[in-house]
Amino acid sequence: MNGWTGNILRVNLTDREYAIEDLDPVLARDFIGGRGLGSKIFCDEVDPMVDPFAPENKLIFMTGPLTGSGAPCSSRYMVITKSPLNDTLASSNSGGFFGPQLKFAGYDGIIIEGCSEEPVYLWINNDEVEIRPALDLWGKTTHETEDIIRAEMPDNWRAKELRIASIGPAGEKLSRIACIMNDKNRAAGRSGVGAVMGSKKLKAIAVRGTDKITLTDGDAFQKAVLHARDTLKAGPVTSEALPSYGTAVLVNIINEAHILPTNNWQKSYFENAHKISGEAMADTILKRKGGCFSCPIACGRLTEITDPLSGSKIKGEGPEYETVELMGASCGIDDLSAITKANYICNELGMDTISAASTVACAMELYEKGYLSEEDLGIKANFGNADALMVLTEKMGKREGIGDIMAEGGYRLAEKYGHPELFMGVKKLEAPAYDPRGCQSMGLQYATSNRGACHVRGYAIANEILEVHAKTDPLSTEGKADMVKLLQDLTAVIDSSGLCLFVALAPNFLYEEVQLLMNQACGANYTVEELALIGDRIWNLERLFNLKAGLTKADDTLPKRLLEEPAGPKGDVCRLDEMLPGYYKLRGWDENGIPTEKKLKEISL
Amino acid sequence: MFMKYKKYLPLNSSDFKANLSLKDGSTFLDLLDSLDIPRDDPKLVLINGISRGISDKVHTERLRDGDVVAIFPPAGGG
Repeated sequence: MNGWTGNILRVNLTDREYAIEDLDPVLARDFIGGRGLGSKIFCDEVDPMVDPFAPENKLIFMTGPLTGSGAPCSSRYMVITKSPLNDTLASSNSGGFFGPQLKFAGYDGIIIEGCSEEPVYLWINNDEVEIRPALDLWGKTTHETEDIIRAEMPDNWRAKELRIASIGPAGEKLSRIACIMNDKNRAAGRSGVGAVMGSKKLKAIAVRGTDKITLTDGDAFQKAVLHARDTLKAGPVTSEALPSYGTAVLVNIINEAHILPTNNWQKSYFENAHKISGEAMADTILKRKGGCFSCPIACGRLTEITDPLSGSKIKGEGPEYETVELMGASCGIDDLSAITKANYICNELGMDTISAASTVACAMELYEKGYLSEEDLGIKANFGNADALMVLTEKMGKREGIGDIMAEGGYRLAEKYGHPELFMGVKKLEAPAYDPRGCQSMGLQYATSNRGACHVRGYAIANEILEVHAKTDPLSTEGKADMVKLLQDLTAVIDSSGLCLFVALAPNFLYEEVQLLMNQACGANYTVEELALIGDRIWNLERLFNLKAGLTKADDTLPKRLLEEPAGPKGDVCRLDEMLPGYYKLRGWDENGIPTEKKLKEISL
Repeated sequence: MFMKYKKYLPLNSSDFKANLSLKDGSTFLDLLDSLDIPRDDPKLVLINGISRGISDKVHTERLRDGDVVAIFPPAGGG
């Protein structure tokens, strides 16, 4: 096969055995790779009613046919499992260098089954595969884990070639918001995928590969790569804004649009937003930009701060927009150093920053309203208290004190203290940093996103606020079902190809560009229509799993606050009811949001 | 004004904000001209919290007393 390696590594941690299997080319074509292929394999093999922490749950790492190919932004892989946070089909995306290295070792993906009695890590060196003991790694941070594994290599050079994905103490302790970190600071963040890895006692996967990826037509592919790179260069977001300021370039924009969640979404404008923006970062804590494999954008931020807790200089990556907003404005905090420290804590202990930040903001509102006491928390936790942010984040990652319940995420925290309406998320997944009361389509996106409230599965902000491809009216609900579906399907294709979603932040980088790259790499002869159909197919596959796992149309909703308390530039609520029925119809679902027989036939599911 | 447009703010403005006095009936283009901001490069414009995008449709619109105008270079993220 070209593009794809044609090999899947299946590892059983109970039996301590592994097998290298052939990738079914029909499956590869019909679901592409990454999110699509990984989800399809998962749905074929796992019962939707499985307990996410049981050995019968599987953990799949899946690259795309373009991962490692040298196309611009071709770094990506997906982690697919059943989410312990909300029982949905989890697919968590990450960049860095781990995915490409897996391709160079000769594998499209890894399927982890069963669970080990004792902590282990998976060692892959081309076709050498070993399940190695990890007792001395258990309890270590993600950073320490990578350093220790590298130190075991016979020489420095081999050590540098090794790429590692690992969990920290949060995943080991089964925090439902634990993530998997690779290359130290890249995260497969959402849905608690780190906890599933922890439940299998799998501490890390280390991979080194020295093989080539073969392509159908090298010369034509190279032309397609240059074309794609030029498209990215021509776009101001991908060629200037992101490299210079990182994703936090959004802070001031989203604030000026009055959709910046503030004080746990009680308001949508933050006076001191500029203090936590990408521009402020560039002036203070930024050392230099950083990029993933084969990326001309380099939105990553290599940063250094004076640790507010210890006073020494510490380094790391980030914070990204979501982190700086939800740990900042949504906690009422304008202290960039404290936010960066809390971000570093999440990276090292292995926690999703969106979920962690949102859970802290929820705790702050519970505290201010008197539902959670200083005694419960161990600290005063008013909005604006930067110490509380850092202390509670650390407690969450280690499951200490109040951290034990907070490690289960904001929904379970709010519910335990009697006020689930103060949890700001959908399907128990904490919502990202855009307020739907000033951007109606994001409300539809949050309510319908298969894994719960998510912005990256249908980034309508690109059209509503940023005019990347087109300009729509953020306060109107008209035509939004069409736009959201289009973006969701396109995103599913990009998420399956191995490309980073940020390619779609360049004008004109749509299906055609992806088609060009894929066809020259894989010889697949996809048409644009077929790719759009595949996107629709993947979306429905995920939806079906969720329905079988027990979710219903009642879960396609928004927090009460967003439906009833006005905010945004014109003081509005999110009028989800004006968009959802039309969306169901467009998707070919009945009034309960269930795909009809006719629909399933149309997309061959 | 944000990022590269900050330098066009009048002296004695805060880091990124200023109150401007313009003639009645002034348009967005008049605002740009009053601060010597180049007309041609693409700008992401929000007026009173509503994004107007980066096209030039906003250029000839009349501004009103009290309007809050935010000007950015095109940007985005995730």
